[in-house]
Amino acid sequence: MTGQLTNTRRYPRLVLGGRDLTVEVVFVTLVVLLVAVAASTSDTFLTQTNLTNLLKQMVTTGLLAFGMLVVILTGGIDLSVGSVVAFSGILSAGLVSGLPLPVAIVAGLAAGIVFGLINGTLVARFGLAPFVVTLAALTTIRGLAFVYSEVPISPENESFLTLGSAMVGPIPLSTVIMLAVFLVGGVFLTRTPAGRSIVAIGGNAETVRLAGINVRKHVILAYAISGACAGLAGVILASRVGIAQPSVGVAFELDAIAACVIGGASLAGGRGSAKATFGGVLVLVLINNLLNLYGVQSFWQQVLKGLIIIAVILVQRTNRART
Amino acid sequence: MNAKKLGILLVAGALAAGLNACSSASEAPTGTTGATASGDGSYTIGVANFTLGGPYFSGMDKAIAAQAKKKGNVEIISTDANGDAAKLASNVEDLLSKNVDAVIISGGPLESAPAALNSIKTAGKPVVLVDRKFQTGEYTSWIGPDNKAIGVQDGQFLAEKLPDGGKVAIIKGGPADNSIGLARTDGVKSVLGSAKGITLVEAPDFGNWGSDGGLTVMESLLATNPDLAAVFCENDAMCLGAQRAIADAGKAKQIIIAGVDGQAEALKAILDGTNYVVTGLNDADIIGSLGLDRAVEILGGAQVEKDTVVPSPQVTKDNAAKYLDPNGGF
Amino acid sequence: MSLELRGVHKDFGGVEVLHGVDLAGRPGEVLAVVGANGAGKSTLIKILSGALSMSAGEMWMDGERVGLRSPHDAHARGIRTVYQELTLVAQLSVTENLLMGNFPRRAGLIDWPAAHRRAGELLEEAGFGAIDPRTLAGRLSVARQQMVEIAKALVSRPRVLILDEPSAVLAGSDLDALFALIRRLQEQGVLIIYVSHRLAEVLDLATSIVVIKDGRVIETTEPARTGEDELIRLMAGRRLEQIYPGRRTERGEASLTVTGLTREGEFEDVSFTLHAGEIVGLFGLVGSGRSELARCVFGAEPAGAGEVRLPGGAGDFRTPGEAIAAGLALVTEDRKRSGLVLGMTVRDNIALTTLHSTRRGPLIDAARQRRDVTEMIDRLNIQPAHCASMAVVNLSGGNQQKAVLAKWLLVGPRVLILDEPTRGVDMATRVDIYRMIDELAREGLSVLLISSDLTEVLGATDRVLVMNQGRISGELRSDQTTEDEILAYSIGLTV
Repeated sequence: MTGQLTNTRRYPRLVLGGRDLTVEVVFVTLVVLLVAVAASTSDTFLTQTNLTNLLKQMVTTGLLAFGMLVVILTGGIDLSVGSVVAFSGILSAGLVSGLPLPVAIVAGLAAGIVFGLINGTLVARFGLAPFVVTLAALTTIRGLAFVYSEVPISPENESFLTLGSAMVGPIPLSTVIMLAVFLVGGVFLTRTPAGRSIVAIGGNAETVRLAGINVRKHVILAYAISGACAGLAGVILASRVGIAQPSVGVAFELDAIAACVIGGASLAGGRGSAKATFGGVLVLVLINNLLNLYGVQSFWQQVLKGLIIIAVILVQRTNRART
Repeated sequence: MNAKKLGILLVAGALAAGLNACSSASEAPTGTTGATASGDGSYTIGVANFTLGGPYFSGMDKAIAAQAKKKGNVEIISTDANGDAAKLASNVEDLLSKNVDAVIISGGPLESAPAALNSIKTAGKPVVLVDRKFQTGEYTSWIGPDNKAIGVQDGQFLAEKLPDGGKVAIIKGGPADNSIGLARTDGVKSVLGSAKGITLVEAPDFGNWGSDGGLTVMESLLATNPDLAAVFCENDAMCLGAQRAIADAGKAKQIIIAGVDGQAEALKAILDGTNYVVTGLNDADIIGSLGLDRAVEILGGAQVEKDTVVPSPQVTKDNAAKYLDPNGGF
Repeated sequence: MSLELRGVHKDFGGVEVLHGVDLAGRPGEVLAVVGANGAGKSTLIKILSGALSMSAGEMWMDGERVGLRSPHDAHARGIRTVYQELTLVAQLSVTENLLMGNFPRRAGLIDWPAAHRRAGELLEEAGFGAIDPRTLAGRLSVARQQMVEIAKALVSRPRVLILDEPSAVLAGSDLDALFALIRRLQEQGVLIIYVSHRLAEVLDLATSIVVIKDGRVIETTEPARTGEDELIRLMAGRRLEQIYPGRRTERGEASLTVTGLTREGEFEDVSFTLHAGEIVGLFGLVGSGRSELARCVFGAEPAGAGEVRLPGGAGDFRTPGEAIAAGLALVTEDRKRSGLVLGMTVRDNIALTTLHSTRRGPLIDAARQRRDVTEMIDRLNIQPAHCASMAVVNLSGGNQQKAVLAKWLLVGPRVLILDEPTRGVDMATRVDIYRMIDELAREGLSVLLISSDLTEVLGATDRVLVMNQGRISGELRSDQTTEDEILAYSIGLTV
């Protein structure tokens, strides 16, 4: 994107019906295909139990993916989300025995925001590489989770479980919360000055700075949003499982990044949308669910996930070479 | 702006409170300095943990330290390899260079640790393995559970509970080469595989030894096999997640649960008469303290048994109260 | 080796910048290429060094027609180029930079003592023996780095050596060492193509001089037959193109006062005043500090000393945001790097400066934004007309530049700083841009037009400030000066 040397290499294009394949087309096709295959070959897929499972299982990945998207849009990355999930979960589960439920939940969420603010400040203010900062945060926050409690905490307060298990009609409350995050997040990214600034910063931070926009502030905001999403995911997960474990969430960041990438977000920043990322989450969860229904071993799920990511990046490449 | 500030303050406060509560509750076992071999009957023993990232293993580490404190004349230097075999080897070398008198290795899921064992052998120090018996290499003594026997125990209990047969699901921790899990599952299969009327369903996905994993894997299982009669998990943490999934699906009356380890929450669930019916107690406290005792005996010149299997008593509603230690760590 | 170019043309996306250049050099010659900025020297060098391919024309070496496909190809044929931009790897030692890939080995491993010795010899041979080959390249001064670059080009014993402004960063004994080196190479039969602004040294070194202007060779001469004055006249030339609107200055109140502004290593003690309704040109060669000055006035870089004041008291901006709020706007030199967000739409780009002010509650007022952007597209005649939701990268260079302008006009500035606004822009769009600037000035804006295009700086402005090596070296009235005079001030001469 620096524009000094234009990449004149040609990549093979993927063409469908005379048009270049776009990322959107690819993954919408993918989702439709997966659902069609699933519905026609498995009796179980369309059962209510399974659909409810699908809805529940996309919550954590979904929340983390949205936060990750916001950071990726700025051209950064947040590797610490899995550890934040663990910390926020165990913090709120620990506090709920002594404090009112809302306070415990807010504390979990706020812990995520604080970690995000620290990450963002180190990146924006001190100019450290996002990969390094959040890698350090990954281990630090994981350690703090164990410092807080080495053993899993199973909260006595039964109401703590509502967040994870309550249903709104046929849809789990946690899924509703996740969908709301995507909805509000989508509006944030497309319709608010801050959201547009974040996208623009990933495209060209210098241009944005010279346009009089406070780049640092917006980068910090992006990491805080990611932290908030991870905190929320942590509280919801602990509530859903009924036990908060300090060891939970290892490698969660990878699924979140994968969802963003499948949804067409560019790790260089500036490109990606909430809608497409949600599609990425859907694809990941569907693959997982489908292969489980067929009793396919988990290694194959990993293989497939990897292949899909490569396929999507190839499509992105061909698209970019065109511009 | 004010709301934001307030939020931050709240968390800061909560964090501080939480951290305080913790630090007073658990004295870090990361030991003492200045290891010196001495002739006055006091010893320095190094503990090499493959991982402390699970309540069972951190409990073991604490039990060793606690037992050493009880003895009075034993100093402990504890290390954590964070699940990295190479780190374990270098930790052992560090311990040897601090001139410890003996080494205790808590190998977790590690199959073997030839480098660590070799350097201890070269240094001529005794090594006691706790929980994990390595497949290769020389060691002085091993104290641990018989994982297959625990599985057999669980299998027999389930067979009794299901006289008319039924579908029994197995949730594995993974990855595929984790021999602790394999031994437990083999035990269960050896009994239930031949029991009449019982069909086994192995979950395709791993539960990764955590409650969250147990929950998701169970959810998927319930979608494909709504008619399950029982579920066996390779550890209690996964069982607790599975129990939640079963309860959410409204099948608590239909499906009974069998686990392994004796995690406090599991014991409590068993005692409360829920559908969590059995576990095999894999007591980190006992194994840890016996391991320390064994090391001290060896240093004192005693002839000791090479391999000691610590019995893993079956825990059911009838005897759960006995094992549930309200103050115990694990 | 003899080298010849015949009828070389080069165009970039339809804009031709070289219109049939002929060039010939024989072994042992020093062929100097001179010309004003934008004359086409850089393009010519890149073609010679294989970095660009020609659109039409031929290249002959020793009587054989050759086609260079890459710099590597050029290296293989014995052509080496030392660019103005430094290409050393800063984190590696001088030895590593020099011998890259050709280390002496012992038992399969790099023999470091031998490598340093070899590097030392190479530097010594080139006459730069004062440089320690063990130093990290990044630790050397720019001048020393330039010398290592030259030594590096000599490693493969080239038969043609192209030097692009080698003396720009050298001075004193370093410069003497360079000249001595060139003379030695000349004796060894190397053909040297020497590009420089410094006419005195060109006259001193060259065996023949080629003057390029507007992509054409307009004169081939020898030092004995010409002089500095004539060269300047040739380089500047005369163009009678009616592309600039007639200016009638109605100078208003002072709108921006800069006093003693200094930023170390870039510019020093710069003072000037802009007035409402006035277009002021700022001319300077590359490296004279004019872009840095603009960024500093705009608050994008901190100043070391001095003052920026607007009537009403605002000034000394610490961020671009402050400058914009006070009524400043800056169209930067490199629109890809700092003018546009290439991945976004035309609308997003134009709306960038007003993102935080165009809102309704927490959301962007999309209707107003759309209206504003459409108005700007119409007003500046950005083509295609319905481009608002197109990716800005798909616009032509000229229209991209207009989009950048639109972005700044949307904030309603009182002082507009334009840094090379017509670089890489086709003639039609240039005319549009000049009209627009004129119109804005008539509405009472102050415009500072930074340019290295002599005709532009003369034709489109009311007065011209000339910068040389970080200082204002002259101030001239556009209707009372000549291109020769401006060029002379910019290279430190006064005629």
